[in-house]
Amino acid sequence: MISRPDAREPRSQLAIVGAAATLGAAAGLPWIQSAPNPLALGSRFLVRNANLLSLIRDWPFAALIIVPAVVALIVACRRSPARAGWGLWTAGSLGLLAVWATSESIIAAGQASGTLARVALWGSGLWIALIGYGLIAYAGVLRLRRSPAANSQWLLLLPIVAIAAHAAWLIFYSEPAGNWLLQVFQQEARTGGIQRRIGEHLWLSAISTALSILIGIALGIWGYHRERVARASLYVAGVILTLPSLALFGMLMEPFSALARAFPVLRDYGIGGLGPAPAITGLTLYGLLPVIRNTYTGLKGVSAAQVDAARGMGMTGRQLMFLVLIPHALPVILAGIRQTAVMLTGIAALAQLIGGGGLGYYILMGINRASIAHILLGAVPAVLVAVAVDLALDWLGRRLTPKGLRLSKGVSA
Amino acid sequence: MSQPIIVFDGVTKTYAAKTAVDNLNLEINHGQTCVFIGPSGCGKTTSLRMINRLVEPTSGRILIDGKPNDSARPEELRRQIGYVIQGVGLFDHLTVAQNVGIVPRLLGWPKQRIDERVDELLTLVGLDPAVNRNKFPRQLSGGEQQRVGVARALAADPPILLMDEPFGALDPITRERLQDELIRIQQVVKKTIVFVTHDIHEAIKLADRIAIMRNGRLVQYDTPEAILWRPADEFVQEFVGTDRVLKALGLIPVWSVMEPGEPGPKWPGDWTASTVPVAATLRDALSAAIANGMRDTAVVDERGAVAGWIRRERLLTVLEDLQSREVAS
Ligand SMILES: Nc1ncnc2c1ncn2[C@@H]1O[C@H](COP(=O)(O)OP(=O)(O)OP(=O)(O)O)[C@@H](O)[C@H]1O
Ligand SMILES: [Mg+2]
Repeated sequence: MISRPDAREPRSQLAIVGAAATLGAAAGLPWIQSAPNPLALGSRFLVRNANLLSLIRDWPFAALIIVPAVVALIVACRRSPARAGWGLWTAGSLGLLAVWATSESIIAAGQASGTLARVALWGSGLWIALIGYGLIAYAGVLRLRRSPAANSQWLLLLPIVAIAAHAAWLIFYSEPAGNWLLQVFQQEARTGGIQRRIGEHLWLSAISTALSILIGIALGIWGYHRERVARASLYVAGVILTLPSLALFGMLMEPFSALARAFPVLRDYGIGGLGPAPAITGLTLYGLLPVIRNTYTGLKGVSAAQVDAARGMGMTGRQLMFLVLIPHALPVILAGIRQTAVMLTGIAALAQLIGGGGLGYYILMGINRASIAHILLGAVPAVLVAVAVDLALDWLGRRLTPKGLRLSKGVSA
Repeated sequence: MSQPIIVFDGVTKTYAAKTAVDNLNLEINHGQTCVFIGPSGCGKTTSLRMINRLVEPTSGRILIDGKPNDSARPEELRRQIGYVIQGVGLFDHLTVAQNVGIVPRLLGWPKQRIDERVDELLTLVGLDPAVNRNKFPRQLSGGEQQRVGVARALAADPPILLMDEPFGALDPITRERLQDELIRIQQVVKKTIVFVTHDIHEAIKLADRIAIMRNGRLVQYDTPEAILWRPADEFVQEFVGTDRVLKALGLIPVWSVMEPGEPGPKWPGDWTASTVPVAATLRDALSAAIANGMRDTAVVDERGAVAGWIRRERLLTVLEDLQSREVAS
């Protein structure tokens, strides 16, 4: 989809939606919520919902927050050329940075002037404004991508990098925040709690993904040779995926505690009805399907002519597998591995249900205490970890795909 | 030389419902090209694949150099036999050089020797190594892929080459050119070639011996000459077709009837209008003569210099001879 750079493009509906949502949220939805103490906030009894318009009176510069949205709306409504992508992207990222960077100052100013009580949280309006500006910036990137020269994917990362850097600074180095969410983050980060949970989370998902890969590839290869094995293992792995995770983890507790009762020495290695052992087992079982399926279909997808040629040239079964079949199936297998890895980093948040640890620790704590801050403390890093794993494996997959396979099927026959 | 290199000794292959090859007895001599031909499903591919044990016979034996072909591991056997399959089957993920070098690699040759061999073979099949060595199969045309397929089969210098409809999927012009190249390559490498085709022209052009099959049975095994003029039965006659004279012309090389001579008053002045190469057959010479208005036709060598002439009278005599044979049989 390459068009002439000066061609008139249709309106960017995505950017219009983003700008409208931002302006609407700024005008009508609670921007900051506050309460006299954390417990009141936790019970969702909000003493006060402060909207942006009332805050602007106390802290006039906050008006800057809505300027980029107005600009973006005007740019998006005109049938503008692809170059307008730069305008949208700039407005979106500036808005994103403005909303993020001013939120702490608004809370501090509001608390100082008495408009806000001691415990403050971002309100729905602020969240929606962030999403709206994100949409505007993304719409800009989409439009830039249509013009041939721009390789603008990396641009999208700039505001995110800036926000991440600022967030890290807030969490690790700045004064105790006025924002309750940030206070909780600061607390957990500075005592090392969150780092430990992220470490556990990565460890749980890495070990179980590795086991899923080993078992899944073995079953996929076996299934390639024996159709019945393929059908049976795909069926069983599919059934496992339909089990609710809670039930699967629960069902694994009993055999593991029986095992630990029978061989008490296992307890020294942390194996028992509760803890990481049943959690890793459960996660591994969950992760099997994509690996088995993609290994099997990837191997089956190698053309009969190539298999025949390989055998006719005197390859042994093992040489055929490692020199021809696996290199060919590699992109498909890696796609399955990526799916499993991302899925397991997500489900690993449930490991804490049976004492497995990980970021689920904060989420469960948040649910118990009805504390949004703790839920987010678990959920935000969990999402970031999953996205990072996804990007890393996507990159790896493209690197490992043999060059000859990246070429589209060529010319004649 | 004395003993045949491949012997089918009462070979039968039965699938559950069907006898694909029925009591096949056949001997192929060193350095000859044996072409299997017959209608689809008559057992050509099955016969071919029993030679390198991609298919195991139900009964009977196949001897290679006097030894049963199941006396060693099948992989050992296959590395001594080049194989060009029906669908090319180049490995998409490997470069042209890696494809060609795969059997030497399996045999554990040192890298240097593999590289040299790859360049030598690419040159032999008419692909410039410098240009093509690092390409991938998907970057090649169908004809180029087929050339790489032939180079790959020749890589470890096997005495036997199996080719299963190697040119079947190509357009007629490319096909014709690759057939010519195969004849040229065969003059250099002197392999025993077992070739499968549907195409009687291809068979007549390439074969020293033609094996005509029908429903798993060998109907006739003979020289192209004999197949044309002494068909064993009606089936073969029908298979050969009606234009036997033309086909027989295709068996006579130009050099065997040409007269030497420089261009001069004796020969037509505008001889460049239509010529034939030395490697061509009288069939090509006839086409050229027709294009000339049936005058004498110049025969040119690879460099385009005149090597001799086909006289119009000579061409007509050969034609008359063949026609009288046609009437007689
Ligand atoms: N693996 C198999 N299982 C069952 N029947 C088979 C098998 N392979 C071949 N046949 C049968 O054996 C017969 C001969 O097959 P073959 O492949 O040798 O034919 P062919 O002469 O090469 O035909 P074509 O010219 O179409 O390639 C066919 O009728 C085919 O259906
Ligand atoms: Mg066949």
